[in-house]
Amino acid sequence: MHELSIAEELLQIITEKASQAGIGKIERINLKIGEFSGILPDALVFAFEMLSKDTIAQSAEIEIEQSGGNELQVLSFEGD
Amino acid sequence: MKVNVMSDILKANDLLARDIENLLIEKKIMSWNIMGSPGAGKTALLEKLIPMLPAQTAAAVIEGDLATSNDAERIARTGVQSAQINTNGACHLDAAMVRSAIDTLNLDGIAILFIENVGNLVCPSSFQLGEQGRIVVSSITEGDDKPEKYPSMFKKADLVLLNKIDMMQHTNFNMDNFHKGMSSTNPDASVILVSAVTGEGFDQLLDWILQRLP
Repeated sequence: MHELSIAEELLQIITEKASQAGIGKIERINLKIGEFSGILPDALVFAFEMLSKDTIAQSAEIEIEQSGGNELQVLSFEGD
Repeated sequence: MKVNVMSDILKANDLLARDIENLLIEKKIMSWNIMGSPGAGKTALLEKLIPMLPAQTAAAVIEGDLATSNDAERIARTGVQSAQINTNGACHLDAAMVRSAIDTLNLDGIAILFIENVGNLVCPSSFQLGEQGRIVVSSITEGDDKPEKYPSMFKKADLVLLNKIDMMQHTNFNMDNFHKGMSSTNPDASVILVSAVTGEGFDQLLDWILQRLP
């Protein structure tokens, strides 16, 4: 329901880690979202796509592993 | 190149929440995150409960709403400190907002901090605020199926208060259905039937709260 603020946090985490790893372009992001997290995967992807325009995460593919708990995690990301 | 992150997306909020939790534990303050639908009776519950607290168990309240200071004013009339957070559109409180509110309160001598969340059965459950425990207020007039319909909220409750019990005869609320829903969603939660209008159930509620003081 507040996927926009979650997408903001995600973008922050990814760009920080990417800068630490010397990555200039993010190709793929792997998330884990639990059934009881209160977050809709589609809405999160939509919000992230909007927020990541003109950033290193623009057009990154987002892969979501759905789980049975209330996880809301960024597992890993790939880029160069 | 693949980078493993393996962290919660809300870790920034969780870190702030943990700071709040540590601060409250250090000051021996018990804190409750009170959630429920708009109109369930969260504020009315506090208005009724706070005057019942023993003199040596002082309370303070943080109120969360999109707009207005109506609830903080109601609490102030009970004689305790209250701080109002206006989220201006956010559907939930987060740890940063709570921290700002805590900084406006004098916590010396306070035994219990009640944090009344924004009226909403969905969003607030995702955000740690540094609380010791969670109280979800449901009510007879909302219907008996809310625990099953809003599992992410009810699963995280330590205590579920079923308010407006004095309204039973005006509705077709089925108590068996409600208890079945609670058993399947969260069998470990305590459930107390209350009426913030008549006071029914408040002795039980008071005991439940006081038993959990640090």
